[in-house]
Amino acid sequence: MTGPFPKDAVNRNAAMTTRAFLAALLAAPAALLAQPSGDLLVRADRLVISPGNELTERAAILVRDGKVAFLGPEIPAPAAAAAREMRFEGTIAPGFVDPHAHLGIAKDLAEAIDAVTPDLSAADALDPFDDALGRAARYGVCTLALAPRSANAFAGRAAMVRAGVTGTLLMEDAYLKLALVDESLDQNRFPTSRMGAVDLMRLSFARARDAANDDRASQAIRRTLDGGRLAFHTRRHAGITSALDLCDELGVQPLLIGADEAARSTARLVRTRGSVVLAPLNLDSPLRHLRLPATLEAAGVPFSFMTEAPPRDATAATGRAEATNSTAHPEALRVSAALAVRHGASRTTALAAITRVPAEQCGAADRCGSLLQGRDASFVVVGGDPLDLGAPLLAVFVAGKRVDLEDRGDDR
Amino acid sequence: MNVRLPSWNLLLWLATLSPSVCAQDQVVVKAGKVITVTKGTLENAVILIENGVIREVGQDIEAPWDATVIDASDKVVLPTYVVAHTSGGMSNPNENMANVPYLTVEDAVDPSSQFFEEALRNGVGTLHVIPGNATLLGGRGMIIRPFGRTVEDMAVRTAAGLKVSLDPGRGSRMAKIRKLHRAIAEVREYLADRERREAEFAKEKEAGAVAEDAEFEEIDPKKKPVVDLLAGKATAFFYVPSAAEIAEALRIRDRYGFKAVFVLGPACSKAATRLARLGEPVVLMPELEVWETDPDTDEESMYCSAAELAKLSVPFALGIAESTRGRPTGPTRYPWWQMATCVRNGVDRQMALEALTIVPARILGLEEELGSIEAGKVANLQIVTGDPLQATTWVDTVLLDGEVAYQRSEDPRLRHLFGEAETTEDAR
Amino acid sequence: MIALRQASPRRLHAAGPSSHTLRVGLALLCGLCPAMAQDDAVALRGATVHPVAGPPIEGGVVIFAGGKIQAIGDGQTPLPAGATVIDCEGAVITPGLVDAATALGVSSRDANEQGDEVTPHLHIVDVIDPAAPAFRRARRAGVTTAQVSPGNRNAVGGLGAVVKTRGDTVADMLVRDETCLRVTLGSEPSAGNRPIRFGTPATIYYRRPNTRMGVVWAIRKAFYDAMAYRDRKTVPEEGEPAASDAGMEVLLQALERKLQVRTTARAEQDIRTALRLAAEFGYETVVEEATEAWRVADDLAAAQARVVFAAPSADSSTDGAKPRWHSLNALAAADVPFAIATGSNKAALDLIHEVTFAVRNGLDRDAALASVTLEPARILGVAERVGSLEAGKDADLVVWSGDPFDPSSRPTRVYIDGKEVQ
Repeated sequence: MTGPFPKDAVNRNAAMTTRAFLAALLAAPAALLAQPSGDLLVRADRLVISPGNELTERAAILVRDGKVAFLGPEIPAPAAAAAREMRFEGTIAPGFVDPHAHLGIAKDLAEAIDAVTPDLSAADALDPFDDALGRAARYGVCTLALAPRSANAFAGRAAMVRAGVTGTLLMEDAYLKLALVDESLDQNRFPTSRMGAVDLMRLSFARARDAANDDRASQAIRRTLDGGRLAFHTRRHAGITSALDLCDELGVQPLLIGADEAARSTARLVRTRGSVVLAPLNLDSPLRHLRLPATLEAAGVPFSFMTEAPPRDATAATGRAEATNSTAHPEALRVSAALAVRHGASRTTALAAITRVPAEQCGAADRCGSLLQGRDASFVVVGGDPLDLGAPLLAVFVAGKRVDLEDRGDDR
Repeated sequence: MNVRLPSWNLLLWLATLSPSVCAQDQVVVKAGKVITVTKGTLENAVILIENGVIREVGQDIEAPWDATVIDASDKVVLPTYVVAHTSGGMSNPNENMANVPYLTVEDAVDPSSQFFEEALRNGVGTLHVIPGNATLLGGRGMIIRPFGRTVEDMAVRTAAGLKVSLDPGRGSRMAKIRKLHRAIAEVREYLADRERREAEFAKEKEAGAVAEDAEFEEIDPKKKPVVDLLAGKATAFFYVPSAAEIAEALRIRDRYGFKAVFVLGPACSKAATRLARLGEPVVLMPELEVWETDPDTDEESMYCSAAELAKLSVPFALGIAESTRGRPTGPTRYPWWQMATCVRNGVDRQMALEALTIVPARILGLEEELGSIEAGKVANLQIVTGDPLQATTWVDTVLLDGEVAYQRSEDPRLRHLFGEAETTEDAR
Repeated sequence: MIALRQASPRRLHAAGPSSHTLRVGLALLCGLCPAMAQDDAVALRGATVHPVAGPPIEGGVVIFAGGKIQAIGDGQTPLPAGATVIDCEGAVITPGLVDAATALGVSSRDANEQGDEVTPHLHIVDVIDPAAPAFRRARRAGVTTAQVSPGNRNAVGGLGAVVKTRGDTVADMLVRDETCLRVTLGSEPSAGNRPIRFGTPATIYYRRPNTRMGVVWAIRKAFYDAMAYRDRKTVPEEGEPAASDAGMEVLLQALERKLQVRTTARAEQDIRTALRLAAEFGYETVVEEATEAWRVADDLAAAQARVVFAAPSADSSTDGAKPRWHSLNALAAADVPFAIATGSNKAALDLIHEVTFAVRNGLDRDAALASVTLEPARILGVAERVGSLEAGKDADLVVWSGDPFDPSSRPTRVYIDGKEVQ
């Protein structure tokens, strides 16, 4: 294991684990007391526990076993004394969360075998040694949802993955992804029209609801309908309308991915407590995309950003999107949030859009997206405000382990 | 430019020669209503025509006993429409090469084209047919009446406007403009060279080196139209596709000092303030209503080029749509539709009416002959069933040079379109 | 019998007491208690009112509240207290126009399923974009209600719907879903297909039909399949019940005359085929486009078919059909009920201008106005709500600057469900 830590730190970690294990065996309460431990204490000038909830005094975080153990003033003095301490001049913020990523394996996620493949699982395509996972971590994206691409109407299930040199599967069912975009209609089979796709979805849901249908697809859909999450990949307003109609019929909370034209559906989204995953913003984005975050914030629609940009010419009716390898850049999350602020969104909402909201959208709010006690100790340390692009990224911790920011690997 | 038109000379000549046409000499139109365009509207008026020319218009005119009387007492009479710029009636109005000023539409006009038939049916009496907008220096146009079996029959005036177009086609706008400058520079160089050689020739002649009766060479016919343009002997019909090119078009005109009539694409109205300073009437392409989509909001909005110009009192002439693949299509081919479109968008009725009568006549330099019903003007009249801007109004009769050129009751194509006559087309 | 609804579990129109029901309730309440303060009551006064259901009224009054028309009458009609009074002197008021054949708010890609030739169970309401600029354009031109249908690239395309041209969601706009089943004759459904010559077909476009007769074959086969399906359902083989098939259920509805078939046919031969198929299977058909109706007006009358005539201003041949200017006069003379629509012609003008051309060519003015108001409302089965100005109907109306058939006129105000629209 070649971690970013110095060798002795690794040894001490290992020692800590053994000792903690023994302590737990002997007397459980004693384990909570501060032993000369492998705990890590990170201090900074400011700590954003979750967007809108921050400490500017005694900004510190105590990491134990890869989790957030104590925060700021609640850190017990003995534990603080026993922990290895790091100090930064800057802000600690929750690690960024990407709610829709394909990493370096976009080709492996673009299965087009059938229009209805809800039983496909992106987890099955996860390569833990994918360079893109290490790269994501180096830019502060600590957790991401690996999603199937949009080749099928029922594209499949997204999986929550922890980034880093070695990726870790956190959970298999982040959401079931449905696609109402050109890519899913260009597959040379039924359906080729959105009308056909919506009808197919409706029939598949009806089929799944009937318990007599016990095929794997129906099972997968049924699981989603029983408390799972449903995400619609759609860009244009017309597709958004169809998706919202379907969600109404199914009585599920809408999660829209890519919805560039969501501004026209804000009232409906508020009513149905829906939320949106937006394509990343950049300097070429049309003004209406740049202003969309502020519009959604004003209306009260939660939104997040993803790193995946839509295929070029996605709006052209005939543009056939190729399942090429991803060109998404992990820094796109921070850039998008900053541009959202530049165009009227509040800093809190913009930061939430790359931390808390995507975690909630993927059903992983108990793991990531904030630094509350018990969450993964995945956080970034920025030499300034996280949304100030001039502020350098000083350190990234994924589940308590510091990421080597200098190890560029195959990074371009 | 007040050239007496050849066809009328011909008519006068015929009139003196043959006694059989004497009966046609005098025609009286008794009209329920006369829209003179320039002198208001007269109820129950009489128009006296002599030798194809209007002699008198008024309420108490006694018709000569031997005059042919056309009774239109339940109808409306107005001048036939004048179309200042069209590329209709030719099978292919654009040459492949860009620099072809020496071409002339005389060689391309198809007298049997449905376009002319339609024009006449809808009350158009005069058209300036000119090469299309796809070339740079496209060739010369001619003014015709949409009546006759041969181009000669139809001709009112040959060698009319010269087409200059800034439509970039497949190339860039910049390249097109550079090409235009080069083409003109080439002609200027040729002229300078010719002047020098002419002086030499004169010297040699003086010295007796050439024969006494030897003439210096004619101007290269391929360059003649541009030479005429630069000498102010021809007018450019200068097509400007959008507001972006207007400033450049004006610079080109002023730099070479030629006369130009601007023919404007619909988006040109965005430069309306610049056009207002021009102080000259312009020609509008047939498409008047333009829909625009705001790229940020996707909101569509429509504007009407004619209305934008009218707001700033820029006089304009209206066009009518040309045919596609030999067949006329779309409502913009109807003069009534074009005028009504203007009024619907807020243009004053009179201004709309002038845009197809007196304004284009002025643009073509024919305001002494055409464009209104006044004594001394050519008797190009249309007798219509009602208000000329109403859809339900039909052109009943068209008189060109005082003679009946069209009668609805004898229009075979209308009978065909209304299913009153089966034709070979049906059998196909 | 398995109902259509069950086969396609739709909530759009089945969901509880809709806002529409509430609106109706409110309107009834207001109608019953005229003394009640009507805050949202509007009275348009002084215009020439064409109710279509009755003779025109000079200097008339139209009163509406709660989205419904309360009263129409002459200048003496009492105005409710508190009503907003709008002076419309010199203007003309007509019902909101009803366009019986459009593709408003749907892209051709969304509305044309190429995966199969016969897709009867697809719903156009699934893909209507309420924010499409086309709706705004239509309502500003006076069209307040429109039939939207699946595209015409399939032999059997799917189910159409009638919507208002304004609304935030399709559910808001929807007047009636499943108004008709779209069937297309002629060369269009076969135009995109390529004949199979060698080897296995590589794309879905290598398929049948490739010919005009093949299209008819596909339609006929669909209905025969539906009849066989019905037989299987009533007499299950070996005790095994036949699986419900959404498409077959839709076709059965048509066969049982519970669902209108909208047959797009332009050329004379196609119109005759449309009538022949209707007679063969006993379904009710409305012929759409009907360019060559002038040739077969008597046959249409004999078959008691109704016609949605598309774009009378167009006069270039499409798919071998030759337009004539007297087409609508011929239908009127033969007493064939018809509506005028914009249809699938991309060059079609605003609906009112299409009618203007029909009037120009000799169509009676009253018949012309009815052909874009009450007639299409009847054909679409929504006449109890729209199509004429009558107390109790939806307050959809257009105030024109002058005679609506004068091409210089334009709509100055348009109301949908009593609300002025932009």
